[in-house]
Amino acid sequence: MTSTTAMPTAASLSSPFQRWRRRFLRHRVALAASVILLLLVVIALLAPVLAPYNPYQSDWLAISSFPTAAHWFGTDELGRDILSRIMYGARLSLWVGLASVSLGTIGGIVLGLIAGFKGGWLDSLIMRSSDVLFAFPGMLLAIAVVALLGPGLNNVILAVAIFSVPIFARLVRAQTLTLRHSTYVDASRSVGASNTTLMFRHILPATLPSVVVYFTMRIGSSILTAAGLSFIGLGPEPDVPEWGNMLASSRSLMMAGAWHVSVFPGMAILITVLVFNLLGDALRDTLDPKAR
Amino acid sequence: MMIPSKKVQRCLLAVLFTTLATGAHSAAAHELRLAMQSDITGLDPHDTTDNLSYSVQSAVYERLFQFDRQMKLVPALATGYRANDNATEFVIDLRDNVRFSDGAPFNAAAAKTNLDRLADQGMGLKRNNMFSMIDHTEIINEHRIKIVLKQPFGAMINTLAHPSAVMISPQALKKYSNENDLRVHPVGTGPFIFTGWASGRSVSFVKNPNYWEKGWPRVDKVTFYPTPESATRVARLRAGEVDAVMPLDAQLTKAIGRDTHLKVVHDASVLQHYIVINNLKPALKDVRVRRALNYAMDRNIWLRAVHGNMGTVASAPMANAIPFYQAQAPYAHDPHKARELLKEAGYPDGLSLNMWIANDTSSILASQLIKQQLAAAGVRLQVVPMDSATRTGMIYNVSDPNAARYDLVLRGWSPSTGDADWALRPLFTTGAWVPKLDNESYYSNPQVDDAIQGALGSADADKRGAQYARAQQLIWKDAPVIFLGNPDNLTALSRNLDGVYMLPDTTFAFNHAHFVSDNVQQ
Amino acid sequence: MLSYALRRLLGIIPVLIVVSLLVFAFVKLMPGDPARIYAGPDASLEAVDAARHQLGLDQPLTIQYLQWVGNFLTGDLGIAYRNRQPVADAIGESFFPTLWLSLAAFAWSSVAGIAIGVFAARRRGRWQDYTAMSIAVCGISMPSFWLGLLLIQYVAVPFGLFATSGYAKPLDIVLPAITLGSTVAAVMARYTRSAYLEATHEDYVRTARAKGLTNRMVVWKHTFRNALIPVLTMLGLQFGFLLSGSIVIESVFSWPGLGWLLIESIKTQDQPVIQALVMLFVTMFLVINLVVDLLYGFIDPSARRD
Repeated sequence: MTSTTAMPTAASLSSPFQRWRRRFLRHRVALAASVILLLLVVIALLAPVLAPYNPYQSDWLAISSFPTAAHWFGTDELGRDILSRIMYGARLSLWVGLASVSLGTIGGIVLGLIAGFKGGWLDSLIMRSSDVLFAFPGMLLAIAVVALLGPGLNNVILAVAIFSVPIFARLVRAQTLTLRHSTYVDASRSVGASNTTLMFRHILPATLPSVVVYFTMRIGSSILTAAGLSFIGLGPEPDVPEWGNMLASSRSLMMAGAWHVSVFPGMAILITVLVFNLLGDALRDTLDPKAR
Repeated sequence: MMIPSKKVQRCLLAVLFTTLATGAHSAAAHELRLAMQSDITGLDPHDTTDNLSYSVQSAVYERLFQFDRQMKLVPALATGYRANDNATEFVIDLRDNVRFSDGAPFNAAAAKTNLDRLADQGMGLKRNNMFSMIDHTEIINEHRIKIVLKQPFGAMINTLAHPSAVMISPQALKKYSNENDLRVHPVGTGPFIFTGWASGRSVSFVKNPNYWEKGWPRVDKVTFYPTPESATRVARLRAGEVDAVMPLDAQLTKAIGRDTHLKVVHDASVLQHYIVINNLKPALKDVRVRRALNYAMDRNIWLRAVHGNMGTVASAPMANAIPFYQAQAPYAHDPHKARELLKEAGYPDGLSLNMWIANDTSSILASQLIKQQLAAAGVRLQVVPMDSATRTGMIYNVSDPNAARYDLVLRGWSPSTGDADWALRPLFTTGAWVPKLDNESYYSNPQVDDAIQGALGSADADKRGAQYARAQQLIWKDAPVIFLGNPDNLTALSRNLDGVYMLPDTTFAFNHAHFVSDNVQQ
Repeated sequence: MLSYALRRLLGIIPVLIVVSLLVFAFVKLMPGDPARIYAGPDASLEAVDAARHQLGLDQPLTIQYLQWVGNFLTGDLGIAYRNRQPVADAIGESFFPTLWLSLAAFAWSSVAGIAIGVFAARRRGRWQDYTAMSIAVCGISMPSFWLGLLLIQYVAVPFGLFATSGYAKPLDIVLPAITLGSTVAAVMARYTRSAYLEATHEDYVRTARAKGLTNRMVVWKHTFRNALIPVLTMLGLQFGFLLSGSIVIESVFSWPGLGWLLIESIKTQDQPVIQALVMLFVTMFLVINLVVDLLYGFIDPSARRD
């Protein structure tokens, strides 16, 4: 067998990827969102260098102080620097969003491919299981998982991942079903490609554009869900500078007039989720112009 | 549309009330509305263990003896008592002319019925264990009873003043013989009559028109609203939805201070905050490690950051307001010494411990501070916040003490008998290991057991004092817990509300609640 | 159509059976001992054992499960451990607050969402469009519990018109409903806009225009009505989303509804209440989705799927 499958030979022809890149670079919102996301990633990665203070260290002389030159975003109820905590929090939120959705996506893709490609009882089993998962409102499922496994960052990631699985499984299955009998899949099957090759080399790449769009959008909602879990006390340990944690502990100080303890972490979540949503929109527009 | 400012509204209301109060019974009912931190668990004090439920139950139920605002024992439904020298017999005089709100008279027979119910260990009520020392109760005459004990028990009168030792109408006990009925149909002698409990939402009472104490109560209705989130409690107070919040988190005193029609009330507390150390864990068996933990804590920072610097730091295993308290040499904050002690005990690199805490705002705040402080001495803490139900379940459901999974537990203990016995015995004696009582440290020192038991064998104050002094000294040296301190009890009220406050044991009193703009009626 | 509906309805049953098994496993795996919770923290080990026996918790798990399902089907939801009142009463009291809140949130958010969506689509590419869509994308990115906190702090407390928490008077519904509906309004605005734009590209709309119909006629008779079908479907799905969102929002506002009850009973490990509530949530969610599907299938027969 030779590798004669669809590889465009003429380099002068622009590949789908190049066409997409051109469209993406012309999309102003996409560019802006990418820049902000890059900034967030840099802050997250370089938090130990950039943060002015240790996020766990208390300044006992400045308990719940308003923003000052020393503490740009003020301090919280234990005198910890809010700016530093938000910077470290960026690590956690981005990590939770990325890890949970990646887990959910990988699980969903594999299950969706198998279901769509193999069909039969395997398909029914996978699809009925995702029906069951779909029967739970998202937050309820996450609360259930955390109530069972106990609070903590990893369990939050798992909880959010679980309810992403059926979404991706359905998406990928639907596309697999239509692609399974497309001409090029039939063609490679006729030259003896194995099922695995067919699934992962031929069908999977074709489903990727929609997966990427969903992936990006889910990160935003995962970050929101994780923050919500922390807010109701089902997140990581209370001293961890997770943004939902910070909002949960801000309620008392806010009532005492300290707006900064609530506004900065809230804005951090809003901006981060916004960036992912805008990016998701932009990817959808540019990957699939018809969907506009 | 113009919304009149709150001040204007309040002025209008005040004018309205003063006008109306000149009539004998005003149409505008004076309602007292309180926001509290959780819902009650039931309305049978004999089958209740939490102070919040006791507080609400005190609208309906009264005891023979009770405590005043300084935790001093005062008579309530009793008028006086006599004890024999070895504290085995107590003769108690009962108040005359008191009726339960269902019309049944309060007399010796009624008191005996209730004491029998408390003492009967077969009843399966949650507080039966506190009254196991009662052998029987005799009726001497219509208004006098004699309680006979199985063994000497010097703290008997204080135990009768415990908020669970209330007098329930014998008629109601008969009518609602099933506990599940009685706990939602309370009938007592108290200043208010129960009207309803909407689980999780409110508990309400109306004035008892035939209350025995002349001139009281002076509010027509009382309603309690469970409001778990401390900031929400204050929000409700500031928005005028309630007249009082209990308790008030220290962080929120500022929020009250900014509001001119509210006030903060603080009272000394006997609630001792401490951190249980599981004495059965290999590393924590070593007294040097336990002392190291005590040296690692900066109690003054704790009091300042978590409790607004209101209260006292621990200087003994019990609060200084408890009789027989004896100050000990303080564990001054010294992380260096703590490290040295840990090294001596064989932990030069420190140790890793877990700490279980409750899931409320102030415990969460305190736990973060404790984590920081212990880290400075080389102790790495993993904090596990848990809902109270999970926590009690996991702590009390262990049949093999060695299987307990916690190293440390942040908690508090408020001796609601106002006596040294109930401050020390449930926490530090061998017989009190969980689940029997509350010795979650699994601490055991026979000398401490002897001293505490010895003190019970006498009604003589000097003899008891000497024993308790010895017990406190031994416990302090053994450091079976990390002692923290006694932050003040904080409440916030509408400025015109008086007579609502927290007792030192953290129960709250409202039987003398009144709004100061009222004219005294009758 | 009827047989299709019936078949779909029956299709819910196996899902519910699996869900009931999961829910049962869930409460059994929860840390903590229900008998201890029932008996109280100071109860003796004997009292705890007595409670265990009384509650039937010493039976084999299969028996416990069958008993629970059997009682459940006859409408007996058991007794709550914390306050020993019938679970059905607690749920009955909490059901209507959640229903009113969901309906209020749904009403304002669907009207506002659709209106904004149509408005933005009709001014496509102009500043009004950009403004509306920017607000909408912020709306779906906003943590709604944070919005709730801000509303309590800066609207409820200073003005005293709406309650900061709880449900005492009808006006108290305003702030939680705003909070709960904000995400749905934003989602609907975005969705309506694109559905509307899609409809304007359909042939019959072009034909209508070509025939010289007035702009208003085109907008209302053709574009809007055709965009309405997908929009209504989306609305139905959003109602299910509101149920889920109410869990967190109710606890921000201490709204005495089902979500609040769920969080409270998870905190107190009140197993009978948790079991009944999760089943109720799942059933409601399934039924709403089914109704949406059926409506859709009714409108568009080709969409019926097995």
